[in-house]
Amino acid sequence: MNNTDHERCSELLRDHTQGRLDAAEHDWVESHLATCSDCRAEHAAVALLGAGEVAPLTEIERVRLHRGVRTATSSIPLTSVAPARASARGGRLLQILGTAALLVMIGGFIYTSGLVGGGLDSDDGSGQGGGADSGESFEAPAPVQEGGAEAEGLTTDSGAARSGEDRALPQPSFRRSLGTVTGKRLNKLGREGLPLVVFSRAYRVEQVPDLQSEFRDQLATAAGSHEEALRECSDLVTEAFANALPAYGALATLERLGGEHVLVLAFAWTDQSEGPLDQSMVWAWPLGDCAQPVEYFKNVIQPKG
Amino acid sequence: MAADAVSDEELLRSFIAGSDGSFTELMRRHEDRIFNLAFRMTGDRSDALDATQDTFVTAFRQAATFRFDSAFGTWLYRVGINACHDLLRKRKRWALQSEDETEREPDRAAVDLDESVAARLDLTRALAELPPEYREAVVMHDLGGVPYEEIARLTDARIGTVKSRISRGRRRLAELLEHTAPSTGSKDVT
Repeated sequence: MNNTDHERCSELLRDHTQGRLDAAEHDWVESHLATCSDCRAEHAAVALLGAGEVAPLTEIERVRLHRGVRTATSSIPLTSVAPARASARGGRLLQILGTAALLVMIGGFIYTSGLVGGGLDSDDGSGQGGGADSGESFEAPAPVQEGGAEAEGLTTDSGAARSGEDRALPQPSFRRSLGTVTGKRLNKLGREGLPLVVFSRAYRVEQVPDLQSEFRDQLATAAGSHEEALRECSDLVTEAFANALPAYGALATLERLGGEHVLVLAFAWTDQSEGPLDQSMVWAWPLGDCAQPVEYFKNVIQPKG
Repeated sequence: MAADAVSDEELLRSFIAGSDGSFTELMRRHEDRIFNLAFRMTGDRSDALDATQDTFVTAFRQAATFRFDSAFGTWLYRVGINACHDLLRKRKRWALQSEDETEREPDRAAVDLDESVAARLDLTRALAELPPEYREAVVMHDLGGVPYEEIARLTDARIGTVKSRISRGRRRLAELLEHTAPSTGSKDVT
């Protein structure tokens, strides 16, 4: 035994504990360990360092992490990162204007077709609640029996205050009372719910920075006494997913939790740096507790043919 | 172009040039690895999450200082190790106080600690006992899989020095862990 053997063994130990050595190297390490207490000690340390699986970040932890980083870095002057950063933000408006004409055409069709509105399908067999605002064509949902958004005058098309061409673009919608929902239905909302389909057709990721806060505020205003909760929950998501555009909100009760009241928010988003918002997220939180979402679904938006 | 087709270094340049989304993408790529490192160093998910957050905040602050002569992931890993060290230092006073209290009045939860958790805590303490240069090399190589050459470049040390630090650090770690093992008397470390 000599120093060269020690060094060679030391270099091979990590791969040895991870089973990455070929048979000859493995056998050599084993025979060396049998006769060398120093290398056995090293081996024990390496094995312990690599022992046990670390459970990956949960979605909640991930959201908290992103939120924490964004909060902590929001106070860092851009110039302290690099002077060039400060001037790079101005180009977004031009990008948006570049696609505006097309979006107005698409949005105009959608809006005048009466497609904008609620949007939960109801094929989960619960037969409760669900449905969408009248005028919605998605899966011919059952109308809300009572406390429906329109009945309360709370169906939110914040675009009503807008004028001209902007009116043609779909706006986020909020349902005051969605009845009892299941996870399956929330999942389906994200996959093929009308609000998200409409948003995915109308908006591109390049527009999200300019619309995100506005759409959140529209939903928050419509949420009435839950305004602050909606704002907080929405911010939690958008701080973690910068490309998420609030599209739909609702108050509901969750069947799985014995009818506990929840706030539902659906976002159109994408993990790409350009292009349409082709994915969705649907979240549900107990009222007043944005830290503990009880439902969370990610989907690629796939409108039914 | 798919986001993953862009290299870390290109994303970092993009971030420095003004794209916040690029930093988010860098986080997405590396957060699990940094969290894994932080958990192995701190032994606690909450602390690991804090250290992971500190890592990315530091990376955000110091992005412009990255020299592009090493892999971004390796640089970030070192930032992560430092963040863990800082956090462990902050926790040290609390931990010592906690141990004193445990001696006076044994805590049932501590007695019932799962063996693997106890081993992890021992490992965390033992790592904290290592000389900093040993600990850094051991963590980077054995936890992070950073090659000897990369560690040498990052720490401005010769490769032989790095190998020596890792080897000695491991042996010291084994000694420390032997002292904290529940059984007494000599035993063969295998």
